[in-house]
Amino acid sequence: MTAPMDLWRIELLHPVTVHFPIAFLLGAAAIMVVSLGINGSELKQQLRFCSKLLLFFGVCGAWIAIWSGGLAESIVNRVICDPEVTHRHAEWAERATYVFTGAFFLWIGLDKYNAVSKRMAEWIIASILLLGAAGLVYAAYLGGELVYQQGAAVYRTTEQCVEFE
Amino acid sequence: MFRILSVIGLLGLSMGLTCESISVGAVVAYAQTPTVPVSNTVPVSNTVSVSNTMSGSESVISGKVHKVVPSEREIYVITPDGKKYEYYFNKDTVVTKVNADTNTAVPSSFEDLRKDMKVIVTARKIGKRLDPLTVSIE
Repeated sequence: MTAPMDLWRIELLHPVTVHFPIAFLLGAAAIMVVSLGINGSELKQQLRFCSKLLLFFGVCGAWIAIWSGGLAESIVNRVICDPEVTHRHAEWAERATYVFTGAFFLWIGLDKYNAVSKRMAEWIIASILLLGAAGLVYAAYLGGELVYQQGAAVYRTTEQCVEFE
Repeated sequence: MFRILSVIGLLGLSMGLTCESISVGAVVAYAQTPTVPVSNTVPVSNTVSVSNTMSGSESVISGKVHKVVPSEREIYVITPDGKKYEYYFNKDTVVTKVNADTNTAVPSSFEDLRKDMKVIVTARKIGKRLDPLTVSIE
């Protein structure tokens, strides 16, 4: 018997797409916080540039991950033991994505219109990114619960693993 | 050039950080996995009745359809005390409608379900998941 290793399942689009925005957004927040501790040098400008770039790609990826998560939800909720966790996972992921999206546009706006001092703008953006990162980590934790506690979208092998022989 | 190299380096760093955080989440989630199976003997609140079967308890919920999601073949039912229940229909779910004239149940389908309809849903409770067995439209 051959193993039913069909990885081209709709519900697996989510794990394929979700890890990039997690990395980018957490990276953007971490780099922005690091840049706060550096005063007026070329390195600070480069870190800010990197953070903004990661934020842009992270936000784009996060919306794609939310779309793929919606596809996965209706499939895994028919199988797992507590569908409520999926709902909380989606809610927190959406909250975090809205926060990061808002932070991105606010950052563009603050840079363009100089509404507040540069230093103040940095602190505002860093605070919002940290807030988003906290929500994102909690959403990721709930995602971990879905996979490692409830086996969401995970193939269950037969007891004797005959399909792998 | 230096900027591009920095971005590539920082991307790698952030990927590493994320893998770390995901691993920690996974370890915590794994550590919290109950080792003793929980029995389905606790009655469900807001149900008209609950009975235990070999494959999980059976619950009967009476309420109004709060939302119908045709693409998912899913409905949300809200009880008079405001509790919301989610049901994903499966191939075995039977939908019936009470004929007002004869007061008998006639076969119906998911497509007949509308928001605010009064329904009685009998479901098999597996963990916290409710698999609908019968949906009776009143």
